[in-house]
Amino acid sequence: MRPIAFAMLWILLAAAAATGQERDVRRASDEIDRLIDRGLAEAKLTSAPPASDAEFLRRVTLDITGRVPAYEETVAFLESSDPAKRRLAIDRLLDSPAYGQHFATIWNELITPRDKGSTKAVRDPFTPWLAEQFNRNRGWDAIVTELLTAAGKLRDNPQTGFIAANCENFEPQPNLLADSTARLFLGIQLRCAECHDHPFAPWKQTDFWEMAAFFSHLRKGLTSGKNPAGWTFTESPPEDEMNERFSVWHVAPGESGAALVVPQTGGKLAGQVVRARFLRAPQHFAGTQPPYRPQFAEWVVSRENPWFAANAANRMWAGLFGRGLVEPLDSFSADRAPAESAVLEFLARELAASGFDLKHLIRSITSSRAYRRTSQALSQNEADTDRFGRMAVKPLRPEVLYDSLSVVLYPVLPKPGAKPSTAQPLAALPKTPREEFVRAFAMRPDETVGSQVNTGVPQFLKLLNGDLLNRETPGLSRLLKGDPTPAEAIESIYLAALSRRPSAEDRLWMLEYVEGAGDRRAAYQDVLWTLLNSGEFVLNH
Amino acid sequence: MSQIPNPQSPIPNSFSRRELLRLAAAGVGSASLSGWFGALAARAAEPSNAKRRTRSCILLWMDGGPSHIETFDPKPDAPESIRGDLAAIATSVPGIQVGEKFPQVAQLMQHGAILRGMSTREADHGRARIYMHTGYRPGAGGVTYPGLGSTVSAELGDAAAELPNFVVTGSPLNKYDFLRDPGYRGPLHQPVVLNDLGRGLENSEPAVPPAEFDRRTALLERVEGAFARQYASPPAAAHQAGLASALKLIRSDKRGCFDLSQEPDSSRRKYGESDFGRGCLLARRLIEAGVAFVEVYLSNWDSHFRDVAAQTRTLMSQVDSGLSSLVGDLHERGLLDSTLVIWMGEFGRTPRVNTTGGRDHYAKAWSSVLFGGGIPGGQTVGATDAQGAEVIDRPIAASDFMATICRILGIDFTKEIVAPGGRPIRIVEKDERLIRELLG
Repeated sequence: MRPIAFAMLWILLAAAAATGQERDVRRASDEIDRLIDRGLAEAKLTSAPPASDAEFLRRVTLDITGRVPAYEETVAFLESSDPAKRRLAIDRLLDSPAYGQHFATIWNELITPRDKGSTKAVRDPFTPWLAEQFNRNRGWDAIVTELLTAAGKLRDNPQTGFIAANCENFEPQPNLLADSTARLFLGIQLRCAECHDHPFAPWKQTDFWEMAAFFSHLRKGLTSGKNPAGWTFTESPPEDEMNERFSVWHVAPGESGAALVVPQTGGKLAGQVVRARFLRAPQHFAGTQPPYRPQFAEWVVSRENPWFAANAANRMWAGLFGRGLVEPLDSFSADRAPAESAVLEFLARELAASGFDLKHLIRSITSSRAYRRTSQALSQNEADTDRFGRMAVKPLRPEVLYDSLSVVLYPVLPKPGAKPSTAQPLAALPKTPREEFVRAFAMRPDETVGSQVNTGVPQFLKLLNGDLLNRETPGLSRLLKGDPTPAEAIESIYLAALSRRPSAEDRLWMLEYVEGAGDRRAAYQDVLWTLLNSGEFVLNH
Repeated sequence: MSQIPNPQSPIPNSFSRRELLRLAAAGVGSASLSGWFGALAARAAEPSNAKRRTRSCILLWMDGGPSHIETFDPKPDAPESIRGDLAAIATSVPGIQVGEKFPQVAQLMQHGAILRGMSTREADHGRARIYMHTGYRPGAGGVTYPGLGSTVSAELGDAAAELPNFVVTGSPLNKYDFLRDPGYRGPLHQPVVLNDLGRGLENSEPAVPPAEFDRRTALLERVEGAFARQYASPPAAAHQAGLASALKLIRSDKRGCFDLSQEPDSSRRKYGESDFGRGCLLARRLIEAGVAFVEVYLSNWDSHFRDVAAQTRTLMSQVDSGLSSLVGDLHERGLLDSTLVIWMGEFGRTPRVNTTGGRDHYAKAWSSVLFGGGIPGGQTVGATDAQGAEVIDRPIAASDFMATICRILGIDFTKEIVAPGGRPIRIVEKDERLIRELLG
């Protein structure tokens, strides 16, 4: 076959595949809208009008890639008359490596929380691994299986980061692992049942410890040092008991299977032997030889497990809409989830049927009319707090604020002729390492939307008066090249900072300001300073 | 329905966490699904000066855990292996002795009370630091608890004040994220941190000339107002409220209280040429200007070895100058009765000097000291045995201590606050026993 014909065939095939994908996405997003609209009608609520192109682009770029669109992306998008431009934008963003990096940020916060001592040592190898899984679009079931069954050295097997993050005194802790697994991957809060039966949900103390028992034989192998990167995790018994410490407190003596002794802090179960059981299964787990985690993971990610897909869908929805379909995100209970939300029930089914394809889930949700509504406040939807007739105004994560400031102030420009792309690495802000910024601006993570930019006095002082927004930046210089008129300059600054054109009112205020100032250059700096300090920049609306 | 999330009334058990959240989301009460924002917005809407604060608090935090035997619970009659090589000295109150490194503090004991029966169960720095700042064991129930400063800021602070309600200084602060974490109290009750006293309040000075600053902030307030109206929502309201507080501080005349160069040399010398001394001086200036809570952090009390133990003698002298000047000045200015000064670390040290000439962690029996705040002074509460090893009278647990501090400051510690996630949490953990001797 001649190369050209081959190429043509390939394009045709790719187009056919794309159309199939498009159809699937449309079917799913239509179903989302049907169910959401039904809920709105039941509650006699009016939905908000659609978001403008500018509002949509900024929102979807922040939600998928964790940064604002670059000036060029905004201009190209706003000027395009392609009716498919929103779909193409979603595809472009999902193809960008920034997608995986952003979702790694989101899940890192949950899996390796910052307040645990060894976070940095765990995150250094774990973060790139996680980002790669998302970017390769591995199924969520495969990713979670890797996390639950990981073994070996963190340095060579970064997926052990999940276990490393659930250690205490340098040993994996079954209670912490059970808590994290239930909360993050099943949407169930079992920790309350660590010491007593759950006060609100029907979870029992035994449910908690029966899940913990699957991790009873997991231990840190013969390694030394406090740096978790060198730790080896294993579930096999020590080869040389004399030299290798078999210190695990939790293995029940004389029990051959997965079972543990509940420690003294375990309330009324303290001191008792508890054998492993899949949550609410009629029988105890029958395995008698470690490793026990592969079978546990198989149960966790199985399509028959009612909580796994629903949790993933609910958490994704919460990230995109600012609140979950079921709240709190870890409140699934045996009898209620996920059936109490028709949308969630549908999304969970859809996600499982797609082979836990997260990009398909994101495409389906971001293609819905529900996602594409304006977040402006309207008198007719004031009463809408949980029907999704209006898009929420969401706080940014500190990482997202940092990256967005980098996009605006220190843009990495595409090579001449190349398309604008989010594939390029971002420039660091001068004298402000990202990690330091994140620490200074992070507020205690909110249960639903994760950590968010702290809007306290010290943070405002830093932005208002600190060096960051009060110095000359290439981001502004390039907008002022070629001696633009004040009106042109103001429009460029708005496009770069807020990803939209100024309204008539904005234009009026800003022109008045610039023309009334002695030093025009300083006045443009003031305009940019104003926009970057405003809620419109620091929030995703 | 509005009584449901009212922290004053117990949450009916028939409401599930989720139902509570639904109510909260529907605008009933203070908890909000999007975290702090509902509370913030509500707070921003409160009329100013709703209540005048009557009490302030200064916490002098001795990080690492000072030896009780060498400071405020000396054992002059014990063998040297327990007593150590510091002597005990008399104080202004007959019968009360303190370590020899505190001659100036000793002269003010009529204003103070030494709590010699502190008995807590956390002997790990990280955990004990949080335990003794919050009164809750770290991580209990998966909740992040606010420290005393955030609690005081929330309960006694003035939301409309130009100055922050909670300020922290000392060193090293960067290491300790927990200090800046207001837990479920939210960002309005995080401290403003001064890392470098010589530089004053960081970033409080506008980066452009005053006239330009006024013009650009006027523009900013206009833009912010337009956005907050058009996109009216709890996060937009919270942002607008935070911006307003920051601008109020920048524009405030009272900002000068952060500038120690305004103090006469004599007073700076009196407090001592150390960061701790300067921190105490700053604390006095801030309390005078109306700040509700100031924490001054002093590290390196972790005296496992002979050399560290020797260095803590310097810290003791710094405490002697700083603490005595602070208490003396507050008394002179009529502020001592309304200002509670707390001196404490996260635990004490082992009664027996170890083989390397130091002392190790010890949470079973240790001391803290209170001055002012209207407490009856000139007393010791509780006692340890002859070795300083066991509390033989009036043991004080963390929750007893916290509850008593709250009572002295006029905070209702039985009040329940609805934390994000809809959990009602008592300011001080249940089963507290108040230290009656301190309540007059």
